[in-house]
Amino acid sequence: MKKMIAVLMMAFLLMAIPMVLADEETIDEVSVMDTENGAAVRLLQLQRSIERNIAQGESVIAEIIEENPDADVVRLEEIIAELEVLSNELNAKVASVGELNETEAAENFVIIKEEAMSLIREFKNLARGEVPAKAQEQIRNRVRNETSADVEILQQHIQERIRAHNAIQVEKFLAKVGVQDEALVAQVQAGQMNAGQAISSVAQAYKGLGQEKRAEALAKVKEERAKSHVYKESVRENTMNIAQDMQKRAEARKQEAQGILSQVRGRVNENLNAKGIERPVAVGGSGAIGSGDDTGSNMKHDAPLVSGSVSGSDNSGGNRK
Amino acid sequence: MKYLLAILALVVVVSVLTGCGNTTPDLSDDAGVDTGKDTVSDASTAEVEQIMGEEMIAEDEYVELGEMI
Repeated sequence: MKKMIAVLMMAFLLMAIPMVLADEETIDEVSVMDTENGAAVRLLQLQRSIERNIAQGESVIAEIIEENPDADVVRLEEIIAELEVLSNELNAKVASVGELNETEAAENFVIIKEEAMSLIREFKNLARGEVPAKAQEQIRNRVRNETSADVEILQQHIQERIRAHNAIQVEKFLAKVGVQDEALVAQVQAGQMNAGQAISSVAQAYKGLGQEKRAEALAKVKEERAKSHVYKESVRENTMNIAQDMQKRAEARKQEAQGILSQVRGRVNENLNAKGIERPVAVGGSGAIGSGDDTGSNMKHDAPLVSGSVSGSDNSGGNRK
Repeated sequence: MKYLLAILALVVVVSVLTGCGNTTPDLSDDAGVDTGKDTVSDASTAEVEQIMGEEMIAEDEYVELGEMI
Protein backbone atom coordinates (compact mmCIF):
# COMPACT_ATOMS: atom_id res chain seq x y z
CA MET A 1 0.00 0.00 0.00
CA LYS A 2 2.83 2.38 0.96
CA LYS A 3 4.59 1.59 -2.31
CA MET A 4 1.46 2.37 -4.24
CA ILE A 5 1.06 5.73 -2.50
CA ALA A 6 4.73 6.53 -3.18
CA VAL A 7 4.32 5.66 -6.88
CA LEU A 8 1.18 7.79 -7.09
CA MET A 9 2.96 10.72 -5.41
CA MET A 10 5.92 10.42 -7.79
CA ALA A 11 3.56 10.38 -10.77
CA PHE A 12 1.82 13.47 -9.42
CA LEU A 13 5.14 15.26 -8.94
CA LEU A 14 6.30 14.39 -12.46
CA MET A 15 3.01 15.76 -13.79
CA ALA A 16 3.27 18.85 -11.61
CA ILE A 17 6.75 19.98 -12.76
CA PRO A 18 5.79 20.88 -16.33
CA MET A 19 2.52 22.39 -15.07
CA VAL A 20 4.45 24.65 -12.73
CA LEU A 21 6.85 25.67 -15.48
CA ALA A 22 4.22 26.57 -17.99
CA ASP A 23 1.32 28.16 -16.11
CA GLU A 24 -1.30 29.94 -18.20
CA GLU A 25 -0.05 33.45 -17.37
CA THR A 26 3.45 32.56 -18.55
CA ILE A 27 2.15 30.86 -21.69
CA ASP A 28 0.15 34.01 -22.48
CA GLU A 29 3.29 36.07 -21.96
CA VAL A 30 5.28 33.95 -24.44
CA SER A 31 2.59 34.23 -27.11
CA VAL A 32 4.32 37.34 -28.55
CA MET A 33 7.78 35.76 -28.49
CA ASP A 34 7.58 34.33 -32.00
CA THR A 35 8.97 37.62 -33.32
CA GLU A 36 12.45 38.98 -32.57
CA ASN A 37 11.17 42.18 -30.95
CA GLY A 38 8.45 40.32 -29.03
CA ALA A 39 11.06 37.88 -27.69
CA ALA A 40 13.37 40.77 -26.73
CA VAL A 41 10.50 42.56 -24.94
CA ARG A 42 9.63 39.59 -22.73
CA LEU A 43 13.28 38.79 -21.92
CA LEU A 44 13.91 42.46 -21.06
CA GLN A 45 10.72 42.70 -18.98
CA LEU A 46 11.82 39.63 -17.04
CA GLN A 47 15.29 41.12 -16.56
CA ARG A 48 13.78 44.41 -15.38
CA SER A 49 11.62 42.60 -12.82
CA ILE A 50 14.62 40.60 -11.57
CA GLU A 51 16.74 43.79 -11.31
CA ARG A 52 13.94 45.50 -9.38
CA ASN A 53 13.71 42.54 -7.01
CA ILE A 54 17.51 42.58 -6.58
CA ALA A 55 17.41 46.28 -5.59
CA GLN A 56 14.53 45.63 -3.20
CA GLY A 57 16.18 42.49 -1.83
CA GLU A 58 19.39 44.37 -1.00
CA SER A 59 17.37 47.00 0.83
CA VAL A 60 15.47 44.29 2.69
CA ILE A 61 18.77 42.73 3.85
CA ALA A 62 20.01 46.11 5.10
CA GLU A 63 16.68 46.71 6.85
CA ILE A 64 16.85 43.26 8.47
CA ILE A 65 20.39 43.93 9.75
CA GLU A 66 19.25 47.32 11.06
CA GLU A 67 16.24 45.70 12.75
CA ASN A 68 18.12 42.71 14.07
CA PRO A 69 21.96 42.86 14.02
CA ASP A 70 22.10 39.14 14.90
CA ALA A 71 20.05 38.10 11.89
CA ASP A 72 21.52 35.45 9.60
CA VAL A 73 21.51 36.95 6.10
CA VAL A 74 24.04 34.66 4.43
CA ARG A 75 21.52 32.76 2.33
CA LEU A 76 19.63 35.97 1.52
CA GLU A 77 22.77 37.45 -0.03
CA GLU A 78 23.44 34.22 -1.90
CA ILE A 79 19.93 34.36 -3.35
CA ILE A 80 20.50 37.93 -4.55
CA ALA A 81 23.74 36.78 -6.19
CA GLU A 82 21.84 33.91 -7.86
CA LEU A 83 19.23 36.35 -9.14
CA GLU A 84 22.06 38.39 -10.56
CA VAL A 85 23.36 35.32 -12.41
CA LEU A 86 19.90 35.00 -13.99
CA SER A 87 19.88 38.69 -14.92
CA ASN A 88 23.29 38.33 -16.57
CA GLU A 89 22.04 35.28 -18.45
CA LEU A 90 19.06 37.30 -19.72
CA ASN A 91 21.41 40.08 -20.75
CA ALA A 92 23.33 37.62 -22.93
CA LYS A 93 20.10 36.17 -24.37
CA VAL A 94 18.80 39.62 -25.36
CA ALA A 95 22.12 40.46 -27.01
CA SER A 96 21.83 37.35 -29.20
CA VAL A 97 18.03 37.27 -29.52
CA GLY A 98 18.23 37.44 -33.32
CA GLU A 99 20.17 34.17 -33.36
CA LEU A 100 17.71 32.25 -31.18
CA ASN A 101 14.98 30.30 -32.93
CA GLU A 102 11.41 31.24 -32.08
CA THR A 103 10.87 28.59 -29.40
CA GLU A 104 14.35 28.86 -27.80
CA ALA A 105 13.76 32.41 -26.57
CA ALA A 106 10.37 31.44 -25.10
CA GLU A 107 11.79 28.33 -23.41
CA ASN A 108 14.56 30.44 -21.85
CA PHE A 109 11.97 32.92 -20.64
CA VAL A 110 9.82 30.18 -19.04
CA ILE A 111 12.68 28.47 -17.22
CA ILE A 112 14.43 31.67 -16.03
CA LYS A 113 11.11 33.13 -14.84
CA GLU A 114 10.33 29.96 -12.86
CA GLU A 115 13.84 29.93 -11.34
CA ALA A 116 13.59 33.61 -10.40
CA MET A 117 10.17 33.11 -8.80
CA SER A 118 11.43 30.13 -6.86
CA LEU A 119 14.45 32.12 -5.55
CA ILE A 120 12.21 35.08 -4.65
CA ARG A 121 9.82 32.77 -2.74
CA GLU A 122 12.78 31.34 -0.81
CA PHE A 123 14.09 34.85 -0.07
CA LYS A 124 10.70 36.05 1.14
CA ASN A 125 10.21 33.06 3.46
CA LEU A 126 13.69 33.45 4.97
CA ALA A 127 13.41 37.23 5.30
CA ARG A 128 10.07 36.92 7.07
CA GLY A 129 11.65 34.53 9.53
CA GLU A 130 14.26 37.12 10.53
CA VAL A 131 12.00 40.01 11.57
CA PRO A 132 8.65 40.28 13.40
CA ALA A 133 5.44 40.62 11.35
CA LYS A 134 5.00 44.31 12.15
CA ALA A 135 8.52 45.13 10.95
CA GLN A 136 7.92 43.06 7.77
CA GLU A 137 5.04 45.32 6.79
CA GLN A 138 7.10 48.48 7.45
CA ILE A 139 10.07 47.14 5.46
CA ARG A 140 7.75 46.09 2.60
CA ASN A 141 6.35 49.62 2.40
CA ARG A 142 9.81 51.21 2.54
CA VAL A 143 11.36 49.08 -0.26
CA ARG A 144 8.28 48.83 -2.51
CA ASN A 145 9.38 51.68 -4.79
CA GLU A 146 13.06 50.82 -4.60
CA THR A 147 14.64 50.75 -8.03
CA SER A 148 18.04 51.10 -9.67
CA ALA A 149 19.66 52.81 -12.65
CA ASP A 150 19.72 49.43 -14.42
CA VAL A 151 15.92 49.21 -14.16
CA GLU A 152 15.53 52.64 -15.78
CA ILE A 153 17.89 51.73 -18.65
CA LEU A 154 16.03 48.48 -19.23
CA GLN A 155 12.71 50.36 -19.28
CA GLN A 156 13.92 52.50 -22.20
CA HIS A 157 15.02 49.44 -24.18
CA ILE A 158 11.68 47.73 -23.48
CA GLN A 159 9.77 50.77 -24.77
CA GLU A 160 11.79 50.87 -28.01
CA ARG A 161 11.27 47.17 -28.61
CA ILE A 162 7.52 47.35 -27.85
CA ARG A 163 7.04 50.18 -30.35
CA ALA A 164 9.00 48.33 -33.02
CA HIS A 165 7.04 45.12 -32.34
CA ASN A 166 3.65 46.88 -32.45
CA ALA A 167 4.52 48.78 -35.64
CA ILE A 168 5.31 45.48 -37.38
CA GLN A 169 2.06 43.94 -36.10
CA VAL A 170 0.00 46.92 -37.33
CA GLU A 171 1.69 46.70 -40.72
CA LYS A 172 0.97 42.98 -40.85
CA PHE A 173 -2.71 43.33 -39.88
CA LEU A 174 -3.21 46.20 -42.32
CA ALA A 175 -1.81 43.96 -45.05
CA LYS A 176 -4.32 41.25 -44.13
CA VAL A 177 -7.14 43.78 -44.28
CA GLY A 178 -5.75 44.95 -47.63
CA VAL A 179 -5.09 48.53 -46.52
CA GLN A 180 -1.86 50.51 -46.75
CA ASP A 181 -1.32 53.19 -44.11
CA GLU A 182 2.34 54.03 -43.66
CA ALA A 183 1.51 57.06 -41.52
CA LEU A 184 -0.26 54.84 -38.97
CA VAL A 185 2.70 52.45 -38.82
CA ALA A 186 5.10 55.39 -38.39
CA GLN A 187 2.99 56.83 -35.57
CA VAL A 188 3.06 53.51 -33.68
CA GLN A 189 6.82 53.20 -34.24
CA ALA A 190 7.37 56.75 -32.92
CA GLY A 191 5.21 56.13 -29.84
CA GLN A 192 2.65 58.73 -30.91
CA MET A 193 -0.06 56.08 -30.89
CA ASN A 194 -0.42 53.35 -28.27
CA ALA A 195 -1.44 49.73 -28.88
CA GLY A 196 -5.13 50.30 -28.07
CA GLN A 197 -5.42 53.27 -30.44
CA ALA A 198 -3.65 51.36 -33.21
CA ILE A 199 -6.00 48.40 -32.80
CA SER A 200 -9.01 50.75 -33.09
CA SER A 201 -7.59 52.27 -36.27
CA VAL A 202 -7.07 48.88 -37.91
CA ALA A 203 -10.55 47.81 -36.76
CA GLN A 204 -12.00 50.92 -38.42
CA ALA A 205 -10.21 50.06 -41.66
CA TYR A 206 -11.63 46.54 -41.40
CA LYS A 207 -15.14 47.85 -40.72
CA GLY A 208 -14.96 50.00 -43.84
CA LEU A 209 -14.51 46.97 -46.11
CA GLY A 210 -17.28 45.37 -48.12
CA GLN A 211 -18.85 42.19 -46.80
CA GLU A 212 -16.86 39.86 -49.06
CA LYS A 213 -13.50 41.51 -48.37
CA ARG A 214 -14.26 41.54 -44.68
CA ALA A 215 -14.85 37.78 -44.67
CA GLU A 216 -11.57 37.30 -46.56
CA ALA A 217 -9.67 39.51 -44.12
CA LEU A 218 -11.22 37.80 -41.10
CA ALA A 219 -10.12 34.40 -42.42
CA LYS A 220 -6.52 35.69 -42.73
CA VAL A 221 -6.60 37.18 -39.24
CA LYS A 222 -7.95 33.91 -37.83
CA GLU A 223 -5.06 32.10 -39.51
CA GLU A 224 -2.77 34.27 -37.40
CA ARG A 225 -4.51 33.15 -34.22
CA ALA A 226 -4.22 29.49 -35.26
CA LYS A 227 -0.45 29.94 -35.78
CA SER A 228 -0.21 31.55 -32.36
CA HIS A 229 -1.98 28.58 -30.74
CA VAL A 230 0.37 26.10 -32.44
CA TYR A 231 3.35 28.16 -31.25
CA LYS A 232 2.11 28.32 -27.64
CA GLU A 233 1.53 24.56 -27.59
CA SER A 234 5.03 23.86 -28.92
CA VAL A 235 6.50 26.05 -26.15
CA ARG A 236 4.38 24.26 -23.56
CA GLU A 237 5.60 20.84 -24.76
CA ASN A 238 9.25 21.88 -25.00
CA THR A 239 9.35 23.33 -21.48
CA MET A 240 8.44 19.88 -20.16
CA ASN A 241 11.83 18.64 -21.41
CA ILE A 242 13.66 21.63 -19.96
CA ALA A 243 12.34 20.77 -16.47
CA GLN A 244 14.79 17.88 -16.33
CA ASP A 245 17.76 20.27 -16.68
CA MET A 246 16.72 22.50 -13.80
CA GLN A 247 18.79 20.67 -11.19
CA LYS A 248 21.94 21.01 -13.29
CA ARG A 249 21.23 24.66 -13.92
CA ALA A 250 20.71 25.29 -10.18
CA GLU A 251 24.11 23.77 -9.33
CA ALA A 252 25.92 25.82 -11.99
CA ARG A 253 24.09 28.99 -10.89
CA LYS A 254 25.04 28.52 -7.22
CA GLN A 255 28.68 28.12 -8.20
CA GLU A 256 28.64 31.23 -10.39
CA ALA A 257 26.82 33.20 -7.69
CA GLN A 258 29.72 32.66 -5.26
CA GLY A 259 31.89 34.71 -7.61
CA ILE A 260 29.65 37.79 -7.33
CA LEU A 261 28.63 37.46 -3.70
CA SER A 262 31.18 40.04 -2.56
CA GLN A 263 29.63 42.64 -4.88
CA VAL A 264 26.20 41.98 -3.38
CA ARG A 265 27.62 42.41 0.14
CA GLY A 266 29.33 45.61 -0.95
CA ARG A 267 26.00 47.05 -2.08
CA VAL A 268 24.19 45.91 1.08
CA ASN A 269 26.93 47.64 3.08
CA GLU A 270 26.41 50.78 1.00
CA ASN A 271 22.73 50.70 1.97
CA LEU A 272 23.72 50.35 5.62
CA ASN A 273 26.29 53.14 5.39
CA ALA A 274 23.63 55.41 3.89
CA LYS A 275 21.63 54.84 7.08
CA GLY A 276 24.73 55.59 9.17
CA ILE A 277 24.98 51.96 10.33
CA GLU A 278 28.22 50.03 10.61
CA ARG A 279 27.78 46.40 9.62
CA PRO A 280 28.64 43.89 12.37
CA VAL A 281 31.78 41.90 11.57
CA ALA A 282 29.96 38.60 11.94
CA VAL A 283 26.21 38.19 11.71
CA GLY A 284 24.25 35.03 12.43
CA GLY A 285 27.36 33.14 13.47
CA SER A 286 28.93 33.36 10.05
CA GLY A 287 32.26 35.04 9.68
CA ALA A 288 31.54 35.43 5.99
CA ILE A 289 29.22 38.38 6.45
CA GLY A 290 30.85 41.66 5.73
CA SER A 291 34.03 39.94 4.70
CA GLY A 292 33.54 40.69 1.04
CA ASP A 293 34.79 43.48 -1.11
CA ASP A 294 33.24 46.54 0.43
CA THR A 295 34.09 48.85 -2.38
CA GLY A 296 30.38 48.99 -3.09
CA SER A 297 30.69 48.51 -6.80
CA ASN A 298 27.47 49.19 -8.65
CA MET A 299 28.77 47.62 -11.83
CA LYS A 300 26.81 44.42 -11.70
CA HIS A 301 27.10 43.28 -15.28
CA ASP A 302 30.17 41.97 -17.01
CA ALA A 303 28.79 43.21 -20.32
CA PRO A 304 26.98 46.50 -20.90
CA LEU A 305 23.24 46.23 -20.31
CA VAL A 306 21.37 45.10 -23.39
CA SER A 307 23.19 45.15 -26.64
CA GLY A 308 21.75 44.40 -30.07
CA SER A 309 19.60 46.66 -32.15
CA VAL A 310 15.86 47.05 -32.27
CA SER A 311 14.35 45.59 -35.41
CA GLY A 312 12.34 48.22 -37.17
CA SER A 313 9.02 48.03 -38.94
CA ASP A 314 10.57 47.28 -42.30
CA ASN A 315 10.32 43.55 -41.60
CA SER A 316 14.03 43.15 -42.22
CA GLY A 317 14.41 40.10 -40.08
CA GLY A 318 12.37 41.58 -37.27
CA ASN A 319 9.46 39.26 -37.66
CA ARG A 320 10.23 35.60 -37.52
CA LYS A 321 6.71 34.35 -38.18
CA MET B 1 -43.91 10.48 -8.88
CA LYS B 2 -43.92 13.50 -6.53
CA TYR B 3 -40.39 14.39 -7.68
CA LEU B 4 -41.41 14.11 -11.34
CA LEU B 5 -44.27 16.51 -10.78
CA ALA B 6 -42.03 18.91 -8.91
CA ILE B 7 -39.51 18.89 -11.78
CA LEU B 8 -42.26 19.47 -14.35
CA ALA B 9 -43.61 22.37 -12.31
CA LEU B 10 -40.14 23.85 -12.10
CA VAL B 11 -39.68 23.54 -15.88
CA VAL B 12 -42.99 25.32 -16.45
CA VAL B 13 -42.13 28.14 -14.04
CA VAL B 14 -38.68 28.62 -15.60
CA SER B 15 -40.05 28.66 -19.15
CA VAL B 16 -42.70 31.21 -18.19
CA LEU B 17 -40.13 33.43 -16.49
CA THR B 18 -37.67 33.28 -19.38
CA GLY B 19 -40.33 33.89 -21.99
CA CYS B 20 -39.80 30.54 -23.71
CA GLY B 21 -42.38 30.05 -26.46
CA ASN B 22 -43.21 33.76 -26.58
CA THR B 23 -44.80 34.46 -29.97
CA THR B 24 -45.55 38.14 -29.43
CA PRO B 25 -44.30 40.02 -32.53
CA ASP B 26 -41.39 42.44 -32.10
CA LEU B 27 -42.81 45.93 -32.45
CA SER B 28 -39.68 47.87 -31.73
CA ASP B 29 -38.51 50.51 -34.24
CA ASP B 30 -35.68 48.44 -35.66
CA ALA B 31 -37.64 45.20 -35.88
CA GLY B 32 -36.88 43.36 -39.09
CA VAL B 33 -34.35 45.94 -40.29
CA ASP B 34 -30.90 44.51 -41.15
CA THR B 35 -29.79 44.47 -37.50
CA GLY B 36 -28.55 40.92 -37.97
CA LYS B 37 -25.90 42.08 -40.43
CA ASP B 38 -24.71 44.82 -38.10
CA THR B 39 -24.43 42.35 -35.25
CA VAL B 40 -22.37 40.00 -37.42
CA SER B 41 -20.18 42.93 -38.51
CA ASP B 42 -19.68 44.11 -34.91
CA ALA B 43 -18.87 40.59 -33.78
CA SER B 44 -16.27 40.08 -36.49
CA THR B 45 -14.73 43.52 -35.81
CA ALA B 46 -14.53 42.63 -32.14
CA GLU B 47 -12.85 39.36 -33.11
CA VAL B 48 -10.25 41.21 -35.21
CA GLU B 49 -9.64 43.60 -32.29
CA GLN B 50 -9.26 40.69 -29.89
CA ILE B 51 -6.80 38.80 -32.09
CA MET B 52 -4.78 41.99 -32.66
CA GLY B 53 -4.83 42.63 -28.92
CA GLU B 54 -3.24 39.22 -28.35
CA GLU B 55 -0.46 39.97 -30.83
CA MET B 56 0.38 43.47 -29.62
CA ILE B 57 2.08 44.59 -26.39
CA ALA B 58 0.89 47.40 -24.10
CA GLU B 59 3.67 49.68 -22.82
CA ASP B 60 2.61 49.30 -19.19
CA GLU B 61 2.85 45.48 -19.14
CA TYR B 62 5.31 43.89 -16.77
CA VAL B 63 6.37 40.41 -15.63
CA GLU B 64 5.23 39.73 -12.07
CA LEU B 65 7.68 37.78 -9.90
CA GLY B 66 6.43 38.46 -6.37
CA GLU B 67 7.58 40.56 -3.41
CA MET B 68 10.83 40.15 -1.51
CA ILE B 69 9.28 40.28 1.95
